[in-house]
This record gives sequence, structure tokens and C-alpha cells, in this order.
Amino acid sequence: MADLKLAYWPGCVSRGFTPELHGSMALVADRLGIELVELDRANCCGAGVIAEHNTELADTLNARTFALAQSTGLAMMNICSTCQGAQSECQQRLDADSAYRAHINEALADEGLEYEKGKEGWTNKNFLWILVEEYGLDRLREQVTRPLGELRVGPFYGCYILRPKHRIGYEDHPDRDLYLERLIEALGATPVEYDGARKCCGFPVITMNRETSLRQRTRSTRTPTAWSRPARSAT
Amino acid sequence: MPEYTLKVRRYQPETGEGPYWQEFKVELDPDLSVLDGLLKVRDEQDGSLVVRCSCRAAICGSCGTKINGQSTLACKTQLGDAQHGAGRRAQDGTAPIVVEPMGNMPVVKDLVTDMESTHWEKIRRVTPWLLPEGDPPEREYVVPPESMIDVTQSMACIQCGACVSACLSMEADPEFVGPAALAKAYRFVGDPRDGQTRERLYDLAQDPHGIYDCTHCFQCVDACPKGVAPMDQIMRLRRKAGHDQDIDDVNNGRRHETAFTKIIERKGTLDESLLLQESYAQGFVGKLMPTSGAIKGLLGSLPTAIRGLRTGKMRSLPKLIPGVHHKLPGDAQQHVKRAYEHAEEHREELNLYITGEEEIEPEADEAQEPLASAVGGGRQDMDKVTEGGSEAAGEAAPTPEADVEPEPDEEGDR
Ligand code: SF4
Ligand code: SF4
Ligand code: FES
Repeated sequence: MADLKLAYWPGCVSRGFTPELHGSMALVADRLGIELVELDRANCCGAGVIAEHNTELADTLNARTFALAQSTGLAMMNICSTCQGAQSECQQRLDADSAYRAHINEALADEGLEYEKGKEGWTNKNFLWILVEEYGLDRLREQVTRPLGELRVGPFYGCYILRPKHRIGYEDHPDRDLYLERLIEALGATPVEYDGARKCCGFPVITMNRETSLRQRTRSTRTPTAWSRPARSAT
Repeated sequence: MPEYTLKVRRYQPETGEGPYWQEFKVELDPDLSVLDGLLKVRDEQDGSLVVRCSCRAAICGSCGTKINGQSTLACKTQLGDAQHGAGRRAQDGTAPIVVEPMGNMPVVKDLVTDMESTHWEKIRRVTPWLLPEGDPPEREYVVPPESMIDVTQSMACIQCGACVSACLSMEADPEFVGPAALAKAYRFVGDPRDGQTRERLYDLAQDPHGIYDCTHCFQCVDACPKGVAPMDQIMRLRRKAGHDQDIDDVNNGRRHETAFTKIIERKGTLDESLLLQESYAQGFVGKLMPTSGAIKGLLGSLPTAIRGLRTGKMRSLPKLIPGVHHKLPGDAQQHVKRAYEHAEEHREELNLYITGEEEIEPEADEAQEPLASAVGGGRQDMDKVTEGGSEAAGEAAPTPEADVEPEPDEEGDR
């Protein structure tokens, strides 16, 4: 019963150092009857790094991916926080100005592609958002055969899927920063609250300032929540 | 009138006690601000509560605070919204509104922080005044209006420190120049009257805690009450330093960015092994001799890769070898190259702060399909984004309705 069929952008890291990202999603999607059409011609989202070099280039590359997805007639899905954020940033600029959009589409014309703003039924959503907003947690709960019981799980979101709120759809879906907790609960486990859940992993500066980066990682993973502990004396 | 519980983090150093939480109940209109709530507490319940404020209208920048963990202005946050935020997170509509002093700064007393070392000193660090070249013109400087509009976004800063409070690089590296100061740096780098553009950029690129110490976490963008989007200004500084001025930085940031961009041009998707190698030692396999720093960096990253292998995260050894990577099928790579040519030729930079956004077509919004709500289609929540974006305005060259505020930063310290 494939009632959800989506154009799927796997991203780069799932083909490199993080193969488990694609692998685990594919197993789950298959079980839930989510059908995926892989966008094998699509390109890297730029991860915010290409935008740092040339915003028009980042916008053009993502317009190409969006256009490839739109040409399938299906809404698009990604599985990476960074893809979601970088693509939403470009989509915001592409949607903001029709002259700019037309200019970008010129670069895609040779390939017979065009990114269309507001195309009916077209969105680009992360797998997490698809699970909660499209598939639904109630349906998901029914699929659980072995609840995760004793497991206590600390969610970690990644910056790009949380911020900036005005860019990634929080007006329409204000609880997107709570979806992991809800998902963990739906699977029968207990979410653990800790300060680092919505902080930075430090990766974007790992090649630039190793110390800053590793300290961020440590803070993200080690700090208990300020709200649940008594205030310490040294401030 | 609804009743709100404010859970305030108190600190009264003269008592010799550490910080503690205290809850206060106030009855107020939901449209009034958290600051109004705090002032009512101070007036009616506890005169010892210390709060800093002045304008009560998001202009003076005095009342930076953390509300439910979010750095913001207490006078710009309505009680009703704050209650909703507190309840949402705790899944309990009556959960208290949590009010704390700003982060990344020493607390002086209760909600008042010392902004000297973490904010003002850093603002002074970027030379926040105009350094024109040559003799001043006989009359006023004449500059194209567009170029001044370009810096209005960074000029909108009211020095509240909310971005500094939220900054995750600052939390890990207190020496980081930081979002507010770097946004201020752009204000002068982008000013056509300034004669030290290159020197300013060189300075910030040579500082290991400068423009390449930002971790791209967007915290400052969400925190800023004036839509300055400090991170966007930092990225513009990087583009100006790396591309326009050809400046190499001490943090290898430009090298990393160039390597990344080149790899996508060649391969369409990211080959991480190649990136790791090229970020540290560009041209390692080519003709260029790597610098000693590059070799150190590359060796430094090996433990990460080897640990990855041991834990089985990197399934196969080939993934470690730069250049062995997935390729796009057919002629797809040709078309990626075409996108590169087009974009590198124009390098157009659309600034939404200036152009505003087009109206979202109503059909797209109202369609009932489950997947119909446009992701990221929302308007920016900014004071000064123009409401422009009628179809006509979108077609023509964007007409900036610059409601330029007088610049607050030249009024000196408060
Ligand atoms: S994006 Fe950069 S400057 Fe802004 S809060 Fe994060 S680390 Fe700090
Ligand atoms: S950039 Fe925004 S948040 Fe930062 S000090 Fe200025 S007004 Fe406050
Ligand atoms: S009191 Fe002036 S900004 Fe809040």
C-alpha cells in the first residue's frame, strides 16, 4: 500500500562516510510502504559551504535538484538535516523574486529543466518531517512490533533542521523542534532531555578551528539540561 | 486577566549565595511583555529583583534575556507567546515561563550581565568607525544609494547582545570575535566610503577567532530581534575576503570552501575523502607542494578516519581513498558544469532583507493535499523587511523601500 510516493534525494554523506543513514531509512520506508524514486542525477546541496563561495551557484545547484524532483511529479524527500537547511535557504531566495528565479532557470534550460515556485503538491521535506506530518505518529505506533521499552534516547537534531525558524517552515509546523522526542516516545522508548539536543555538533569548523569544534561537540553531548539541575554557584 | 508564572534565575552576589530559581505569579494581559511582568514583580512583590531596561520598545537594546532558553529581548516577547512556548516544550500549558540572564557573559546580578568583555570589547576590536582614504570631500560624500542600503541590515543592530548570548562558537571559544561584532565589521566593509576594506578583511581572516571561527549554527539569526542575521553578514565577509580580495585565512577556511566547490563541479556530489585531503593540502597529489600546516592537518585528521574504520562506520577501505566515489550518470555532470559557468559568470547576490519576498500564491497555500504546504515559504519575521513583492515589484528591478533608521551605534556607549 504505497500511499506515499516521493522523489528521494539521498545526499552525499549517505554515499560516503555515513552509509547507515540511507540504509536504516530504506528499511523503515520499505516497512511503512513509503515508495521512493531516487534522484540519481541530482547534485550536492552545497551544505552552506558553496553559498559561502557564491550564493547564486548554491541556488542554481539546488534549483536543478528541485526541478529534477518536480519533473517526477512527486514531492521531494531528503534524509539529512544539512540538506534540508541548505535547500530551504536556496528555496527561500528562489521563491522570493520571479526575476531572479527566471535568471536561475536559464542555467537549467539546456537540460530541459525548470524550477517552478509553488508547484501544486510539491514540497521538500526531511524524512523525520515526512514520518510525523505525512505518515503520522498514530499509524507509526500501530506498526511497532517490539516497543523500545527500557531504552532511554537523547535526541540530537542538527542546526540546519532547527534554525532559522522563519526559513524552514516553523510558522506552519511550530513543533518541528520536538519531533524526535515524539518519535522516540511513539516507538516506546523514553526521550532524555539534555542541553545539547539542539546545539551544534561542531562539524562545520572542524577543518578551521579544531579546538572550537571539538569543544562544541563535547558540550553538545555531555551537558545535562540547565532546566533540570539546580543552579550552580559559579556563573 | 490570565495569570503567569515567571521562573526567574536569581543571583544576588552580596548574599554570598549561589544562583537560585524563584517563581513569581503575575496577572497581566497576554499582549504585555515579559519585561512588563518582571517590572510588576519588582514593583509589587520583590524590590530586590534586578532588571536592566530603558525604552521598553525594542529600541535601546538594554533588556537582553533568555526566555525559555531563547536569547531575545524581554520587552519584545509577549507574555502570551512566552507562555505558549513554555507550555509547548513541557507539554503542559501551565508550565512556568523560564527567565534567565543572557548566556556567554558574566552575571552581575539577577538578570543583568556584564557585556564589557564579551560584547563591547569585541565591537571595539573590529574598529567600528569609518576610515576613509584621502582628504575628505569639500562637501558631503556622495555614494550610490544601493550601496548604503546594502549595509542597512547590519546598521539595524541595537547592541543588545542576544546573538552573543546565543552563539555556540562563543560558548566553546570565548575569544571568538562573535556575531554582533562581525555584523558590525560588515557594516564598514560594505561601506563604499571606507578606505580600509582589504585591511579589515585581512585582519579578520588572519585572526583564528575571526570570520572562520563561526560554526554556522544559525543561533544568532534566530536570536536577533532586529533581523540583522549576523551569520549572513559573516558569510558575506567570507565571500568578500576569499573571492573579492583573494585573501587566504589562517584557519584554512577558504581552502576548505574552494576544495568543496571544486569537488562538486567535478563530481556533482561530495567525495568526503577528497575533501578531507584537499581542505588541508590542496593539490597534495598534484604539482603544488603542501605547506607544513597542511600536512599536520591531514595527519591530524587521520585518527578520525581510522576510528571510523575500526567502528565499522566506514564500511569499506575504498571510501577512504580520495577519488573513489560515486559519479553522476549520463550527461548529468555536464549540466552541473553548465550551472557553474552560469552562476560564476553572474555571481548575483539576492538580499531578501532589501528586496523582501513575493506574496505566496494563495492556491499553493490553500490546496488540501497533505503535501501542499510550502516548506520554508513563510515570510521572514523581520521588522524591516519590506512588504514589497507585488508581482510588478518582483518583475522590475527590486525597489528597496529603505526605511533607514538613524544609526544607533555611533551614539557611544550606554
Ligand atoms: S552562526 Fe556563527 S556567529 Fe551565529 S551564533 Fe552560530 S557560531 Fe555564532
Ligand atoms: S545583531 Fe541583533 S542580536 Fe546581535 S546585538 Fe545586534 S540587535 Fe542584538
Ligand atoms: S527595554 Fe529597550 S530594548 Fe528592551
